[in-house]
Formats: sequence, structure tokens, C-alpha cells
Amino acid sequence: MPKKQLPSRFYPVKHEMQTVEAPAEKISPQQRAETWEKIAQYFRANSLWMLNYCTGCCAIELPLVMTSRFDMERLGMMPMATPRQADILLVTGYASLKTLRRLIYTYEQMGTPKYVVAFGPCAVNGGIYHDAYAVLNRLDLYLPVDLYIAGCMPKPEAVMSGFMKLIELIESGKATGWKDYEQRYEWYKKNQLEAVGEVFIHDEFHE
Amino acid sequence: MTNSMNSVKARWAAQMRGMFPDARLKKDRGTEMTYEILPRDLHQILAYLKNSGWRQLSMITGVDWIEEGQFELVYNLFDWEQGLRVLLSIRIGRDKPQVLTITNIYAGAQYYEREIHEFFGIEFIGNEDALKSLFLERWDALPPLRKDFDSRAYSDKKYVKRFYDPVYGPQGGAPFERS
Repeated sequence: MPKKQLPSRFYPVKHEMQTVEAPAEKISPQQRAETWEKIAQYFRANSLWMLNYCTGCCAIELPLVMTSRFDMERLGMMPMATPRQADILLVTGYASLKTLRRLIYTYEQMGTPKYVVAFGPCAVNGGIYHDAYAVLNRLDLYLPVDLYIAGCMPKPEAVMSGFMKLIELIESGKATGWKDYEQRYEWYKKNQLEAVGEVFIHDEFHE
Repeated sequence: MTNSMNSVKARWAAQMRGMFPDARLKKDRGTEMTYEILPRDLHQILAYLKNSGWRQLSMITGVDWIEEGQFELVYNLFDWEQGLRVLLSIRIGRDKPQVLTITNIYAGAQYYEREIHEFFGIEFIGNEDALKSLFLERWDALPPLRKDFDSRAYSDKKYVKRFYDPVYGPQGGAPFERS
């Protein structure tokens, strides 16, 4: 069976720039903005820094994806230390009462553009923890999820395929979760308040 | 287990019997001994054990015996020199459960007491920090590890659920839409 080839942009040596046709005549400001947006999307898609917020068991698949066998760095992705430098928030599993608050702090600290990738069924509908007393069932009510990766837990192949899909979405401008969060901020805030009561809690580590 | 270790253990067990006649040896599994003791003896026994080698408090855990109307607290101690684990279990009443803190003997008990206060609602007299929440901030129901707490009913009432009819097969799955 022939091996499936990755799209050419995953091979840095044979990499070809995406060409943007130079307009012959004067272009309108809107067209210029669109062109710049396309260029920005190209660069965003090829250099993704991720923050893995390891809320659940799916996080155990990430070391495999990071290290030499699957090697996510050939997609231009690498782990990053702080939320302010990161582009993707990986929610690897269920969000409980305590972690959802920290997820929201983290997400709001990240600079735009930012993307959320949710792993496993727990972020979709609670998964096997759907009846637990502290597990929030639906993550997309509280944070705008751009991509779900299926599997309990998703295998490294699935994670890689999900990341490639995310890159496609970003490049084609379809990963618009962060814009959605800005536009419907009130709606998200209302859901967050209904679920956890109070989002910003003055806990003992902030005394 | 070697003979010398056995004799050390036997000597220690005899000493324990002599000092605390109320402590009942419930189970002896070689390297792990379980004692049932009275709550009023707890601090004496813990102080004695800490001085005779059990310097590590591995864990405190709680059990809800709802039919007997009791909570059980198990103090799990470990001695690294003998390799011997001792479990001390006390029983307290289930209505308005109170027990004296042991943070003055084992300072590391702080977080275990906080956790038990949060999940079973047991009050630790003398440890005001145990009243702070650890995992369940702004909790608004019964302590969740009590047997009369219905986790499913609470979850159904509190959290928004997602229902859909799954379509099985390669093309199946629920369509993705932002709600």
C-alpha cells in the first residue's frame, strides 16, 4: 500500500510560498486588508505555539506527539511556557469546576488570534464523567472551541491529523473562535456565571 | 520477611497492646497493620507512633458508613526504617461530625483535613484553615462524597447537557455547530 504523502507544506525543504497576485491597478483599502489578512493567515498557520492545559487523561498522548516519532514540530508547532506567548489552548480532557475557572483566566490572558482545541468526548458532552458532580459537560458554552479531536483518548495519529486540520482551518480563515468570543462576550460570560457562580475567585494563591 | 524483622514487629505490637489496651488490631497483613482505636486515644497514639519511627503521614481518608450512621477516618502512617505501614481507624457520629485536628503532630495533615472537610463535611476542631475550599469553590450542595448525595441528580440540575441522536458509521457523528 503506498504511503500517504503529507501535503507539500509539511516538508520544509520543498516548501513553496503561497503566491498572492500583485494587482495591476490601484486596489481598494478593503482588498488590501484582505490581502494582508491572507498573508497573516499563512504565517499564523505555520507557526503555532501551544499551551497544553492538561485537565484530563488525554494529555498522556501529547508527549508522543511532541517527541521524535510523530514530531509535531514539523508542523511548526511547539509547546510554550506562558499563555501570553501561546496561540493554541489545548484542553486535554474534561473541565471541572476548578479547572474551568483557570481555563477562562488562561484563555483571556492569551493574545489574539487564539484557538482552542478540545480533546476527547469529555469536552463535547462530558464523556464518561457526564454525571460527575464537578464536571462541566459542554466546553463550547464557556469557551469557543475551534476543533474537537475524537477518541477516548485520541491516538497520536488522530492528534496529528487534528492539528493538520487546524492548520487548514487557520489558513482558510475558518478558525474564528476568538472573534466569536469577542462578539458574543456577554453570552459566554452569562454561561460561565451560570455554571460556576463566580469566575474570578480570590483564592489562597492570590493573597 | 526475615525473623529479625518479625521479632521487632512483635515487640512493638506487644508494647502497643500494653500502652493502649483499647486499640484493637483488626488486620495484620505482614507489612501493614490496621488498628481500630477510640477517637479520644488518637492523639496519644499518633504522638507515640511519630516518636517510634512512623514519621510520615501518608494519607488521611474518610469512609461514609451511612447505615451505621458513622464516618470512619483512616490515618495512614509509614515507617521507612522498618518498612511497616500502620493504619489507624476511628469512627465518629454522622450527625454534626467533629474531630480534633492533628496538624499539631503532623503538619502535613493540613491538606488532607481540608479535603475531608470539603468532601465529607467533617469539622476539624482547631484547624481553621480546613474551612477554606480546596477543589470545590463556591460549593452549594451537600458534601459530594457523602452517600446520600446524588451526583447524577446534581449534575443534571446544575450543568447544561448535550443530547443528540448518534449516526453510526464512517459518515456518522453529530454535525458541528457553534451553539
